[in-house]
Amino acid sequence: MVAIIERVPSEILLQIFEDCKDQVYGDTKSYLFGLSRVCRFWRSVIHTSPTLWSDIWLDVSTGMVEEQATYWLERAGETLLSITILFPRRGKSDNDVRRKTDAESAKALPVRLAGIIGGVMHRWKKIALDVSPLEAQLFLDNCTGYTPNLLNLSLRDFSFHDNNDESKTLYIPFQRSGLNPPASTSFSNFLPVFSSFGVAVAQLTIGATAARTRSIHYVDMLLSCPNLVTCRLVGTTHDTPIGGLSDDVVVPLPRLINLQVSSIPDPEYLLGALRLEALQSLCVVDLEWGRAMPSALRRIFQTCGDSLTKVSIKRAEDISRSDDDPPSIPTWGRVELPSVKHFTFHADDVAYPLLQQLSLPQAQTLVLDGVPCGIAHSLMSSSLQLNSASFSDLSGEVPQHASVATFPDLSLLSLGGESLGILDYISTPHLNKLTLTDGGAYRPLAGPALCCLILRSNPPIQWLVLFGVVITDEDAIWCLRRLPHIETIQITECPISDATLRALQIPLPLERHDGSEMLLPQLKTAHITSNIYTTPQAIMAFVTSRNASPSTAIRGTVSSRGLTPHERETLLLFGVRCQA
Amino acid sequence: MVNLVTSDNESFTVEKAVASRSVLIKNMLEDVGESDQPIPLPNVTASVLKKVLEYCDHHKNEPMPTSEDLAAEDTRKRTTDIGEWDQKFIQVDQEMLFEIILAANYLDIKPLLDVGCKTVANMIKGKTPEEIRKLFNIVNDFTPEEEAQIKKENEWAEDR
Repeated sequence: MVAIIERVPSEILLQIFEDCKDQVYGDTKSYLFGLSRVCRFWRSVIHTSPTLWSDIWLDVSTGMVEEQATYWLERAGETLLSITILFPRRGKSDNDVRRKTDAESAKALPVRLAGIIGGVMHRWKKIALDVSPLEAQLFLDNCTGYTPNLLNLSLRDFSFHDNNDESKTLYIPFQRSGLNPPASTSFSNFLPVFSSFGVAVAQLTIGATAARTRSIHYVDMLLSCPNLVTCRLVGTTHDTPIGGLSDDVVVPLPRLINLQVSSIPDPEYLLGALRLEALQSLCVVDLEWGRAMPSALRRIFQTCGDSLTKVSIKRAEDISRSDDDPPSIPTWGRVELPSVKHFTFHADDVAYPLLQQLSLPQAQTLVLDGVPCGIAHSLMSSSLQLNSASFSDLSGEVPQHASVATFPDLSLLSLGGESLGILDYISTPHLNKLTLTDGGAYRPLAGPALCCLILRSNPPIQWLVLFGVVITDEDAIWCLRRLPHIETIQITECPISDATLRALQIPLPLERHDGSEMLLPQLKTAHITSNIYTTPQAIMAFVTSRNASPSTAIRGTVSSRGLTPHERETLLLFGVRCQA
Repeated sequence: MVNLVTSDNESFTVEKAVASRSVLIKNMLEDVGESDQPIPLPNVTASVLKKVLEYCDHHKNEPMPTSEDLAAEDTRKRTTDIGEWDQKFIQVDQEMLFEIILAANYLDIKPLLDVGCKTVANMIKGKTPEEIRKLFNIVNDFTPEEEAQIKKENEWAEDR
């Protein structure tokens, strides 16, 4: 009897084999050879289906790599190719000891492989190389043809680099006559410079260049891909500045929409040279920068003001400046970013003058860390559309002449450290989530500021976190009485006592007649932990009282300190976990 | 409503939206216009058509794959994921699985064909040639000499 699978026509069998191939990550040859050994019909379908052979995976360390390349190309017919070549990784000892002795073979193999693979560059759809710089350049120097179909290029260098190495650019000689199709490129420990293929490079990711890199090398690279849309540059922890650039160095990137720069010291030189017109997202993080940075940022803000929708600038932590000159007195005019929806800035006094003059009329999210209270208030006051704000470690105080600003859409507010003073200057009639936290050693006095906000705004808060802030029982109870919509509350490392927990219990019927009201009638989750003045008895009484009825039952977390095993089991039955 | 007649002469009356999940039937309906004439399906038995219609009925409100969708599928790796309902639907014996695949191919129901092919691919995954033969009852028609030759040809792929 003929097996039913033998009635399946070749085109369906091919689809099944394609699906099998799609389940294989990386090298597909074992799978293909395995299937081709099932029976003659399967073998014939596999050998006459070029698409199955279009993913070429060559691991140089396995040997016979040229034979493999030739065999694979024959089978792949005229299909577009996805090619991966893994050259052996080289450690420090390999580099030092074998550099000379291997020079000939290292030179020969990449060149010979390029002779085989490079002959079909017009069919490259994707090429990925894991390769040392020496082998990469040998291979690439022999791939100078047109790549009209190349969509994806990736080069990774895992070889050992000394910290004193200075990176050299890697020349990519591929040719392309037009922008389309746009290509995505990714390099790890390489800094490419493209020939005509650069016009098609829409995405460029540079990851952790192991060697030191100079500004001029970044410039050479960016100049070679003028149509970039997305650019992500990730440096290393080398603290050597990337070096200055003369004023006449200009890198026009008119199509760049998304720019991310991180871990590149003194990036202001590079940013200052860029001429951007269409930037929508700017992310500059983990950097140490100099006094020219605000000018570079201001130029970007001014030229891309209408297109920028997202700005995230975070300076590296724990960086001390070599010069202690105070920030220069600003002479710039107001800089408005009318389209920015999300703005994040982490401490750097060099940029305060720029921040003082920024206006963010459409901002919906504002995240500030370590800036003066006055600047935070000024920025916030320019952003009346805010729906989320997060401030931490604001310094100083809001100027006394500052007025109270109303934020009708603000639903989420998070304040940490010395930032609570801002509460005296804002009105938030629709605040839904409020988080007040400490800033480490500093334990801010939260009670009066919170009372002030509630009195002014009467916000419908459903989610309240008090973490490491100073609040008295009296203030806490006063606030909770005026926040009846709270569904989730966290009180951690606060000096509240059993009095607050007693107030949160469900009043007994007799007490109700006395006029005692039920606080937080909608409470569903409570995390009451690490408050040193609360006792286990009060915690048990609070949870038991709340869970006496399904309509008021709560879940959450409490401190386990002082609770008996039986009490912990009881709490667990209520859905309340104990935390050491 | 549309009347479909199977190879074993059983009639199925189904909504037009259900029958039109088949591009073959949809084209026939467009060609003949409004008609009460039954549509013969000589390559599909009643038991298989019943199963196929169950699939079509479940997916009747989903958009039909466009030619752009099909073209895009050629340029990227197809996902090997199968939806939860489809997974349960396709849990049938091997005979029915391949009958559904053949019917989906004949009736031109690409999403159903994909589900069937992916299911077979999942069955093949990780198996040796011998295990695959056993699974699908395939006869090994290679001579020992051919097997030796094949192994030699691909020796650089062995045990890597």
